[in-house]
Amino acid sequence: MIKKRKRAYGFELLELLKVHGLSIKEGTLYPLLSRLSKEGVLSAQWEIAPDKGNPKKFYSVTDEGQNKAVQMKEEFLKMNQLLKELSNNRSIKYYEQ
Amino acid sequence: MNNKNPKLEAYLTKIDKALGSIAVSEKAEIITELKSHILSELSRNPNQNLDKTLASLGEAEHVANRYLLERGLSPSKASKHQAIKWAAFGLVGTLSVFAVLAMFLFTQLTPIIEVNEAEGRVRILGGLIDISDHTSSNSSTKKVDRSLQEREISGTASLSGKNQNINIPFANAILALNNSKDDKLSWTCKIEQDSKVKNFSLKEKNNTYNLDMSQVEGANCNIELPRDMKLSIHGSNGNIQIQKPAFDVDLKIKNGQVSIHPREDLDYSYSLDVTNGEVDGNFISSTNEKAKTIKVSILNGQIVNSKESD
Repeated sequence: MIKKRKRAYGFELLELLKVHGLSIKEGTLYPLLSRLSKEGVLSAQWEIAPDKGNPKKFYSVTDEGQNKAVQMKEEFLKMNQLLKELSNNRSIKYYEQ
Repeated sequence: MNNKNPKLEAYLTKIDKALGSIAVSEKAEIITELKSHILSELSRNPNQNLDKTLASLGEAEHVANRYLLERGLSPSKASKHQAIKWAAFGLVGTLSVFAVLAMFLFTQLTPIIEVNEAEGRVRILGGLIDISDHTSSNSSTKKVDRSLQEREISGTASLSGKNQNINIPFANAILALNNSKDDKLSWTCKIEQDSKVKNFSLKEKNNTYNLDMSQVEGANCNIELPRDMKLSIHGSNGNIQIQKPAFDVDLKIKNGQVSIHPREDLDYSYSLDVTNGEVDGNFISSTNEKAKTIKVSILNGQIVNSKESD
């Protein structure tokens, strides 16, 4: 979601997730964003809008984060396929790494 | 919303403290971001108050613990303040339960003793024990007219010699103690129809007669005693009337009322003791050697001078 918007701040993400039916508590999201920043998956930048005084911490996906996202997507799709096959009672297909 | 709201600042300070070993610069970023979120929430939704926003975010310690867990650090333990708070809640709760229970028992078991002479009734511990002239009952729940369910038993005995001792043990009874006209010991009692007792046994041993009434609940008896006898009578619950006694009395009951009607032409030496209750009336003891001894001891109840109340 951050990648799609190029950058987003916490409050904005919460609103977006809510719109997509993924209601995450703010007490869960902010610590998660904090960890991903620390791991280098996300980069963060503080900005203060000229009209409003509240500083906002904008997150954007780093190159490392983009690579991880691709890997995770592949993993997810493999897992999804596996689960589909299991639920359809078909023989399990083994994927080469 | 004022950016320096004390409640908000207190909340953020709690998080800051609970973040523990996280670097100061990181702590500052976390606090700033959370504050920004709260203010954004409040400015986005003016109907939302600060308390709701903070509640939605979660307890300060819980929020801080999530940051610590995301970093692989041990979450902080519940503060002593919280532990003390819950301990205090527990203590107050327990004491409240005891207080309510004590109040309930107090209201249920008061008055300790209530004597209603008009109805001929003694109620003890708020009616837990109810002794009535009419029903011979020791329970306030028994309102059935028992006159139709009673039968009468009686007996007479000539006692050899004078200055004999007579023991009368009983359980719950209404007893009228009178002087015998023919110097015989006699008794006439009303007892429950279905009582297994046929009559009271009178046994003699070493110049002491034992009239055992302890197996009957709620007997209503008129007992006539020869002159100069030494009467020893003891039981649990009773209403005892001693009418112009020409005999010595040693009476001991746990609950009930004893009324004494002294004879004018006789002297008495009294020893009256009520632990919970009162001695109602004047009982003047004589120093005369020939004075009849009247010794009464009651745990819960009343001793009345019925001559004065006539």
